[in-house]
Amino acid sequence: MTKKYDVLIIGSGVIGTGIARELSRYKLNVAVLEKEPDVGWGTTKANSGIVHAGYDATPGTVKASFSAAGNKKYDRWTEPLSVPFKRVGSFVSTEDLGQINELHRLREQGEENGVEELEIIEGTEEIKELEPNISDAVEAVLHAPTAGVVAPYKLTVALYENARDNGVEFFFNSRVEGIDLAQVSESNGRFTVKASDHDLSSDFVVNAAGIFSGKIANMVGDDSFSINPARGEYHLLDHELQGYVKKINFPLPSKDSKGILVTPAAEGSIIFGPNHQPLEEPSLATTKAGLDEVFNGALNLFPGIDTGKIVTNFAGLRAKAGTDDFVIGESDVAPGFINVGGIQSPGLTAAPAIAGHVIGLLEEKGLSVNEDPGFDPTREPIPKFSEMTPEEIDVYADDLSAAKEIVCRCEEVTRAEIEEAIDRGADTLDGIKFRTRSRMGNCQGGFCTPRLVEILSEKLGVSPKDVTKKGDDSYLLAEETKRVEQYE
Amino acid sequence: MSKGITRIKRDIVVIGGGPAGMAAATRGEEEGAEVMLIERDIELGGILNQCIHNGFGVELYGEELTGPEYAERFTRKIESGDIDVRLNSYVLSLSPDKIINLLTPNGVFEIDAEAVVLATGARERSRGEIRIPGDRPSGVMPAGTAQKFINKKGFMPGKKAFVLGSGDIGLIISRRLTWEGAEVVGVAEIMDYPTGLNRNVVQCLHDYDIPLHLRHTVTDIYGTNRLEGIELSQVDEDFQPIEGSEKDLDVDLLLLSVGLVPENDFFKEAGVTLNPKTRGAYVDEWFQTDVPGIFGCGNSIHIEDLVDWVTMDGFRAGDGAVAYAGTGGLPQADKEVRAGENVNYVVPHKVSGEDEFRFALRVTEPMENVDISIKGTDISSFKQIVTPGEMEVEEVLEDELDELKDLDEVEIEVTRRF
Repeated sequence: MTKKYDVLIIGSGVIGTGIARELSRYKLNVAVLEKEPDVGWGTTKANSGIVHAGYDATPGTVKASFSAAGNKKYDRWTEPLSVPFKRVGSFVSTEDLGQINELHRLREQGEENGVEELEIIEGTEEIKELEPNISDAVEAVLHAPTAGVVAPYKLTVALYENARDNGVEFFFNSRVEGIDLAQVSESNGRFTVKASDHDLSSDFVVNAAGIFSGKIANMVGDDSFSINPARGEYHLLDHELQGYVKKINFPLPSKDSKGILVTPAAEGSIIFGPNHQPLEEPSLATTKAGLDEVFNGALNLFPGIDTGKIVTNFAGLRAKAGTDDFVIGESDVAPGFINVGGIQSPGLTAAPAIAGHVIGLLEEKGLSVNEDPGFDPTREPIPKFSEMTPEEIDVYADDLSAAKEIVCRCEEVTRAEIEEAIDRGADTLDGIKFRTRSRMGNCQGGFCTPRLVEILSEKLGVSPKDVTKKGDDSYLLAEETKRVEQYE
Repeated sequence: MSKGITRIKRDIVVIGGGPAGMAAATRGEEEGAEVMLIERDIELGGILNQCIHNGFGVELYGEELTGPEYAERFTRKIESGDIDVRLNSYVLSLSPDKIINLLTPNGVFEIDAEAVVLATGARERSRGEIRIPGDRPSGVMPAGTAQKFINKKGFMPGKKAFVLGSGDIGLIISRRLTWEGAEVVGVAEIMDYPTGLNRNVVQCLHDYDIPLHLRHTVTDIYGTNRLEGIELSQVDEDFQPIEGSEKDLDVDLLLLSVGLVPENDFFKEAGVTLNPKTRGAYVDEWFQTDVPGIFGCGNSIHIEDLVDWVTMDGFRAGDGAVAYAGTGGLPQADKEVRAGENVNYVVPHKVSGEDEFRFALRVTEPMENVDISIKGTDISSFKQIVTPGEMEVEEVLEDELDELKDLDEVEIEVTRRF
């Protein structure tokens, strides 16, 4: 029998997971379907990690209505989930005072969107007081103190854990193959969602499938929008440079994007990127030209930065709809089917506002929403060894032998943290990485990978050969050596 | 319940139980110092433990030992001696006044050291540092990580491999993979000469008909989940890929042997000045850094070719630490050692000129029939061939020190004799 839910959510990025978590406040059966083995592995895991102030979106667009509003919700959203969020502020810089009108235009646009505290700062000295290492050539900046940084994958994991604790069911490795608009019966809702190995049914489906949201909409006969992915490439620098860049630094925006930025990451490193490359098909491959473009773009803003401290490079995809705007609302052709598509930047910023909005929309369309008195909004983080003092470590590790083994030496991650990440749902090396930062440091897993494979294999009760980097056939070990085969 | 942090004192604390640290610790003990040796792994030996090939010890012992055999020479001695060995232990912090916070299986300790020897070794450069574009599948890893999987864990990380970089690790892993039944499709080197030791090029590649592609590099990586292939390109004089030279190779394993970087985190934490060239600390002839009482040796100072040199540097650093811990001082090293013609870098960076010493250098360009000499002196030695891939080590003996007396700086140069 097909299990029936009150709401089905397709996609577990920050949008789908955020909606799931907000729905978990109510007495509802909610399920999330995700094709990957973990939450947040699409657009969510590879972006700039910025909570924008909200001045960039053209007033009147859907983006504009959600971005400043989303920004305002961030402190209250992240605090009970214990997700670090820092309002470090952002700069839009220009080297040409002739372009200062553009900064004024952005400020006015921001004010129209409801952004507070925007100011224009002129003069190298004043600018350098806030951002000492910025290029001497910068003449004026638009300063938005309310902009902030958050680790998008950490936020999504926290939303997931909290949603799960409050009763939401998550189905991973569940790719949606089709959606039947079935005859409504007692056991079936309006939609039967056919996933890889099971069918689920509901009267309400939220399509939060990111890059694939257009294709998912097509499954109910909705062809009102399609997604044209646009790739953005990044460089990540060693956390040793923490403090070198203080603000989120943008150049003047272009038509397609906000330009190549240089920003502190919420977890201490520095990020360069992204560029903007429209693609026919989704691809996360980086390119030499693209990485060079990002590198040079970043050096324009921070010519003195030590690029020898680049530890990795990666690419992310923008889920751009044809309209270049968010697509949020009930499908015209399938009542109860809510599209939340085209969520490109500033999607991370808008996420809390979108989640709240979608719940209102579901209620308006007939979902009965009653508060669950048992809802607990809080979620405890995994204790972070690297942030403890020696005295705290002495107490913490006293009767916890796993806390006395540092597995990842670059980021000081203990076996206790890794085992807890696995207990909380990580079953791949990347899943552990996004939760603990192991393999994110300057050796990029050179030292710790063999030990991580061992721990994963022991905890999951599988052969080391079945441990993967990111699910599917991303195995690390092909076979045992001859030595083992011969003597066993 | 934790009883709180225990505070202890030691004459010398050595951080890192690989060849450099073991040498420094044993020398310290021989000279009667109270020595603590800290190792994060479950056993002493460091990377030697996974280097099961032979070739270690030729310079020092006149024998060809395997890595574990070489390590055993020291571990036996250490086990039977009085060195306070702390395995499974991690340095949480090191201050410039040599206070160490240490996490051990028995809790946290605060150690007040007279002298500290940092012997933290090196790490391998990663894909991100050299910016190889492409997909990010599994099956791309540093050669040393693969070596650990094969030699210590008993697993093959792939069946059809390509190796980027002709350093010693890349060469040795190529042979190891072949012995274990994998196919090594080729080795690429961006320079026009191999960067590893010549004997390894012969014994690891030529003997197994593994092609070495000089002036080539990997320019793309294919595979969403597991590595499916790579793109190999020829490079021009500026190391930029030459358009039209691209060639796709089907492989499921790409190993990177693209250089080592000294593990310098503790040096930085202690406020030691680093040499941007080597990324290791500036040291004097006793391997003392510019923070008094903090010494460094082995690959954490500069990347060495032979473990024998690492050991000798460890002995020297151990001697220095003993002298410092005992008397609080060593002869003032105030003569700067400079890298002159065709010298990329030279270690040490300063000498006193009062004691005999050894210096190690790497050249910038390959050259034949050269003199390695100290400018303005008769101290010189002849070499038939020098390449950046092979470290040159020379000694300045007691009876030559007179020649340095009037020099403010010691400039080392490598010049063609004919």
